[in-house]
Amino acid sequence: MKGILVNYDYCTNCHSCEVACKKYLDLPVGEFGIKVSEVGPFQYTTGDLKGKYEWSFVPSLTKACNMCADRTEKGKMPMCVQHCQSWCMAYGEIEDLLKKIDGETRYTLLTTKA
Amino acid sequence: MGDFPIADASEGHEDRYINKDWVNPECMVLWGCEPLASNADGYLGHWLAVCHQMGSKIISIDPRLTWWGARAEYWLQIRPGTDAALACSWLNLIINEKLYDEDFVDKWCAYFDELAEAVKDMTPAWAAEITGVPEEDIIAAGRFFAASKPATIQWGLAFDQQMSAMSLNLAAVDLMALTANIDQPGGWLLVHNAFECNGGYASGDENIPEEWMARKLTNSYALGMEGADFISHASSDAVLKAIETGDPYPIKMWWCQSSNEIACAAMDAPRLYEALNSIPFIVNADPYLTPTSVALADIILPVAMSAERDSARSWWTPIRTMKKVTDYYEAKTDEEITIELGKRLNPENYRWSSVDEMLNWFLTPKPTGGWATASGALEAKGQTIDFNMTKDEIDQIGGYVYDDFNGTYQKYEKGLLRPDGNPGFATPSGRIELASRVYEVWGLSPTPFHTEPLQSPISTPEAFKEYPLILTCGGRSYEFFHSENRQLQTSREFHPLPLLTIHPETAKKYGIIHGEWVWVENERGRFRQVANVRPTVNEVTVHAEHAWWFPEEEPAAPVFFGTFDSNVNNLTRAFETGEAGVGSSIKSMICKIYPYKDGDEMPHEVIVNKGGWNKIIPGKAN
Ligand code: SF4
Ligand code: SF4
Repeated sequence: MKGILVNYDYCTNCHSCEVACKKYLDLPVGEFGIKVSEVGPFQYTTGDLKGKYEWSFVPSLTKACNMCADRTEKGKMPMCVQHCQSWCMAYGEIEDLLKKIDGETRYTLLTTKA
Repeated sequence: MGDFPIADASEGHEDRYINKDWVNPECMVLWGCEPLASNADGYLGHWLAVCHQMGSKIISIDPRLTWWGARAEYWLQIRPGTDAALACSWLNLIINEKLYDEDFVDKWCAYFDELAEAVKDMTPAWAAEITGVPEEDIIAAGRFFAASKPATIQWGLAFDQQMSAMSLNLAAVDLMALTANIDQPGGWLLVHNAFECNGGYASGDENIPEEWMARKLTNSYALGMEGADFISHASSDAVLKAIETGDPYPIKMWWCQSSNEIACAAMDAPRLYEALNSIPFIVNADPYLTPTSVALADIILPVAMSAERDSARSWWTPIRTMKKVTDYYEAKTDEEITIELGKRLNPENYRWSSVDEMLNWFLTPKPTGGWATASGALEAKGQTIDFNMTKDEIDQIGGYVYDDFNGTYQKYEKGLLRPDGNPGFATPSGRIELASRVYEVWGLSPTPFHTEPLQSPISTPEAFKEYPLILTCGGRSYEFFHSENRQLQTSREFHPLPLLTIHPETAKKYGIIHGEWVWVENERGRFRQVANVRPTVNEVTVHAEHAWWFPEEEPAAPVFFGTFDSNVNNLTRAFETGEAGVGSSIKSMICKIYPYKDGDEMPHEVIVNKGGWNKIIPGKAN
């Protein structure tokens, strides 16, 4: 099964994936195929992280996502992955993608209904 | 020094991050800069995000928490307009603790003692008082910067928008020189415009007859300011003074191309609007109908968009071309308009018969002497810059060509920077002048110093009682570039209205609710934006967006697409600038805020129908 792996420590909330997908799926205002959520900003007040900031951005796929089937069958990247400004997204077989998760940074694996 | 310094994220190499000469910066100082959204001069901030992904550590010096600050080893939340104090204290620290690279300073720098003497009292404790950054953070971050090899500084527009702008720029060069990070992989890349097709800024000064040059509208005319006018274009204050007073000559026509000045660039937008209104003939060339078109233009020339345009760019590397793929209606490209107008005004200087011919001329290396030095260095070795391609040829191979010069490090050792072909930097002494002799020629202080913003808790404590918040502005967002893109549906979907960022405690104190309109006011006037309540600024600072207008609102007078209603430049002043006419206080003003109420009088009413808030003394600050 295919999926998109996001190294979301480096997602900048640049919206490029969201816009690229909207144009590709021709979605009207307010609708998305991929949407980035914001966590924070807040500052930790206790423990080892005391004083550090959390301000993270995490993309999710919506029901409208078709994994860019017509592109990927031609060997192209999905539109969102192609346009990621931070190079923090990768498309592929989920078993291969899982191997990239190294515990050094935070990842999330995105999949859709088959 | 030789050429223009930019943070080295491998952009000088075609193979980028895998290039064998390139080294990932160990530390990147993001200083007055959020490069993800701001993309200064074609510099893509995401390059630095890739460096961070590859292990670069971050120091963020910014009044706002940004993506960088949230990921930084050190986020120094500086009071707006005081960066030069911080920079001077880092110089002090690095010199006192001998954290500098003694070998590099000994071999390649000059006037170390003069710099050391100038900053000897500018301690981190002194800077902590001024900047609001704790002394221990200044010290720890300064040591971290100095110990990192290589380290780079990515500086932002905030460097130019403070009173000690020239001083701050010098201080940053001194910091990079002391730590031997100039012209080094992963430090500062010294670049020129690719292949010197556009040496220096190639503003064509050399084509202007002396008697015209003598009538240039300068800073010394506008502000009575000491200092050479080393900038090619006229001083904007001097132009305003000439419009308002008719002295030294009346301004009878105004040509405004790809600029929406009353929405964006004007210091004191209401004043500039009134001044421009008195000019008999105004032409506006722009792809869109803007507030400036409607409010001022007698003639509007529709400008072609990028897909309709053949063009080329060299700032900095690689050299790039773009190819026209379509066109619509009667729109002409900037290049076509420029040639047609130039031919009528001064045919001798506009000898090209077509855009292609002009672009091919542009793409030819043109050593101009002075600023451009690589060609001089080659000439001294009996060589010339090896680049000879037409626009068509570059289009054919994908539209770009990398210039090896911009991917070469330690050019100062190789004799590539000086017109005489000797090793060293392109300064009178051949060394990086820590106390700049060129600054002296320009009438500037040769060593860095701090100047307070014109209005601040320190410089105007009485006024600060009435206007108890610091107003900073101009931070970018992904959706827009200055006043551009307000008419794009998707940009507005993501960012529908102008946002004033307010700390939650401050919002509570002034009865302001997230998502509602709020007035920002100083003694000059007011504007409204939508409250964006979040802890990315501190409790005494608010941040306003600039350059807003609303294509969905009424174009005609007095509304002008609502541009005056949300315009931070209702609060700025003309005739206020730093040393030698560079720098300003616009990122460090003071203000008060309060909720907007239905029926409140809108700024466009006051500005367009009632002559504005302020009485103007022609040609002078008010
Ligand atoms: S894979 Fe294609 S359809 Fe799915 S979110 Fe990405 S761009 Fe949209
Ligand atoms: S394109 Fe990449 S960096 Fe930008 S918002 Fe999407 S995932 Fe994040």
